[in-house]
Amino acid sequence: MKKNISRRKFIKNTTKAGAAVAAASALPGLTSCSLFNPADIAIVNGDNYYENTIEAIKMIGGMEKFVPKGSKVGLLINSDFDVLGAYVNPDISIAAIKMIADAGAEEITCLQVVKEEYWQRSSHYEDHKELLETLKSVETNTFPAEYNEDDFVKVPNIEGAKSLVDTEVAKKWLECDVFINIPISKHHMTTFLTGALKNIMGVSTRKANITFHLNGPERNDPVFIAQCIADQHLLKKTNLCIIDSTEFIIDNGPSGPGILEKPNKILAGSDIVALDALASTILGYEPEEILCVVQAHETGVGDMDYSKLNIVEVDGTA
Amino acid sequence: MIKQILVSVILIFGLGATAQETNKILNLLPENVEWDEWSIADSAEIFTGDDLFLYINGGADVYLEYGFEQVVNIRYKNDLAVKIHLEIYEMTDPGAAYGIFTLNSSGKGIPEDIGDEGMLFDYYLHYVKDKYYVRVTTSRKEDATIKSIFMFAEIVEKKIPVNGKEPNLLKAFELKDQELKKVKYVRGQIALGNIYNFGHGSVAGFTEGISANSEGKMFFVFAYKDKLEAREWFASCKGKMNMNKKFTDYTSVEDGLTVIDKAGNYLSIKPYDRYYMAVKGMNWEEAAPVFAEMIENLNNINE
Repeated sequence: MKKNISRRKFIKNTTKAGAAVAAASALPGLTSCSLFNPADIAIVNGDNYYENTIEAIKMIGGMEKFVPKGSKVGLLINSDFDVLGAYVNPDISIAAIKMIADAGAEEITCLQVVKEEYWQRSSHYEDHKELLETLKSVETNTFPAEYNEDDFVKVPNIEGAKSLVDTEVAKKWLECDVFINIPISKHHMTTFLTGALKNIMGVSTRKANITFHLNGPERNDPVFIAQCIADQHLLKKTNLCIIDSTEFIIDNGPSGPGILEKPNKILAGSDIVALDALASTILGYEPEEILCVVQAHETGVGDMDYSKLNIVEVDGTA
Repeated sequence: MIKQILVSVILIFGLGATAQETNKILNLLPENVEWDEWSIADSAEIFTGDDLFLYINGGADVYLEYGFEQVVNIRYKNDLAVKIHLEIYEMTDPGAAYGIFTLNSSGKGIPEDIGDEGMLFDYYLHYVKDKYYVRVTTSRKEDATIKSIFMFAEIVEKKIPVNGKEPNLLKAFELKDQELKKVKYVRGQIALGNIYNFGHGSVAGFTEGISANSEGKMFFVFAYKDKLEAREWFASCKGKMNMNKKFTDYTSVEDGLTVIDKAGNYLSIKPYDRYYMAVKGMNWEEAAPVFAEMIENLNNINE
C-alpha cells in the first residue's frame, strides 16, 4: 500500500489550488475557500502565526465543523520544552483556543500541563489571559507523569494493536468529545520526526512511554516504537490537528537545542497520518522514511497518500 | 567551602549508581563563590542509567546507545530572569562522550577552545572533556549571557582533571586529498540514522563507526568485533540494500557494492577485514583510491 509521493508532486498539486484560493480571498467580503469546498488540509505561510492559525482552520471548514456547541474538548499541545523550535509557538495555541471557545465548547482541557511560562511567551497572552485562566488541565500529567487513579486509566489491551500490549493514558483524553492535537513538527533522534502521531505519547504516563522504547525485540527498536505510537491512536481518533511548522529544530530533537529552520508554515486538517507525511517533507524527509507514518498508515489510523486530498496552500498574513 | 548545591540536590538513582559515584559528578558543579551574580533557579538533579528517560523528554535513547552513566543538571537565574541551564553528562568512557558531542555538533557551530573539543551555537555552548559531555544553554542570546555561559562552562572544565582521547578509528580518516568536516563518531543505529539513512537494518551490528563530509561527499567506516562478524553483517547489508526502495541500480562490484540513492548520489560500500567502508557521492572507480587509503590507515591502527 505504500505510495511514493514526491515533494515536487505535492507542490504541483497544491499550487493550482493555492492560486485559486489566493484569488478568492482577494475578493471583497469573501474569506478564503468560501467559493470552494473546505480544504482537507490547509497550509498557511507567513509570520503572523495567530492570524494564520485562524485562517488555516477557516480553510478547512471553521472550528464549528469540529467543535459542536456544548462539547468537551481535549487539547494536546506540545508545549513542555523551553528551547526555541522545540515547542509549539504559543500564538498558534492561543488562536486555536480562542476559536474553540468561540465555537461554544463547554469545557477545554489541556490533556498535558501547559505552564504559565509557555503562555507568557506569546504577545497575545495579555489579551487572552482571562480565557486561558478558564482552561482545565490534567494537573498530574506533567513530565515525567506518574500513574494515579484520579487522572489516568490503565488500558489492558487495545483492539487491533500490533505492539502496544497495554498502556496508561489520561482519562480526560478518552472522555473528551473532541480531541484536538497541536504538535510542532521537529526532529527526533529515534523517529526522525516528532509530529502529530508522536505527540500522542503526551497523554501517557512516563512508565507507559518507556515501554515503547524498552519492550520491543531489542532496546529502542524503531519499528516497535513506531507501531506502539500507531497502536495508541487506535484508542481515540484525532478530530482536528494543527501542526506548527513555522520554526523548528532539525537536529538534536526532540529536546534540542538544535539548528533552527523557519519555513513559517501552519498546517491544519483531520487526517494526522497525511499531515505528518506532509510535515515530514517540510523537514526534508520522504514520508516513507518516517516509520510512524508508515505504520500508522498500515494500521488504519489515516492515509499517508496525501495526494488524494484537497490540499490548499496560501500565503497568510506576514 | 560548603556547597549550596549539596543541600538542595535531588538524586534519582537507576541501577548500579552509588552515592560515591554521584558525589563525584556533584563536585564538578560550580561553587557559590564562583557565580555570585547568579542564583539557583532549580535544584540540581542527578539521573542515572535508564532513569535518563525521566530526565530527557525524548532522545534519551541515543545517550544510552553510546554508553551513559549519569547526568547532573542545574538551572541558574539572574536578576533579569535570564536562565542558564548547565548539564554534565558522565558517559561510560571518553569515546561515548566524544560521540554524543559530535552527534550534537553541526557545521553551523563555532569551534571554541574549551575541553577536548567545544562548539558555540546561538544560545548554547557544549564541549567534551574526558568522559564528560557538558552543555550550557541560555534562554537569551545577548552577549552578556553568552559570556556567562562561558563562565559556567569554564568553571566545570577546570574541575575535570584529565583530557580524553579521540577514538582510534578516526585515524582511518587521515586522507590526503579530502578536507573532512562534520566528523561524527557513532556506536549504534540511532546515532547513525541521524547522519545518513542507509535504510533500517542495512548497516547494523557494528561496535563503532565514523562519518565525515567533504564537498558533497560522505565517508563512513564501520568496525565489527571480528572479521567473521563483519562479513556476516556485510552479507546482510547487501541483501537489504538490494531490496531497499530508497536505492536503485544495485550492482555487485568486486567484493563490494554500489547503489544510487534517491538524491542521485552513488553509494559505494567495501568490506575489509573487520571493517566496512562506504563513500556517498563517488562511484566504485572514484571511491577505489579512497578505500585504498582508508585500508592503509586501518592497517596502521591494527599494528
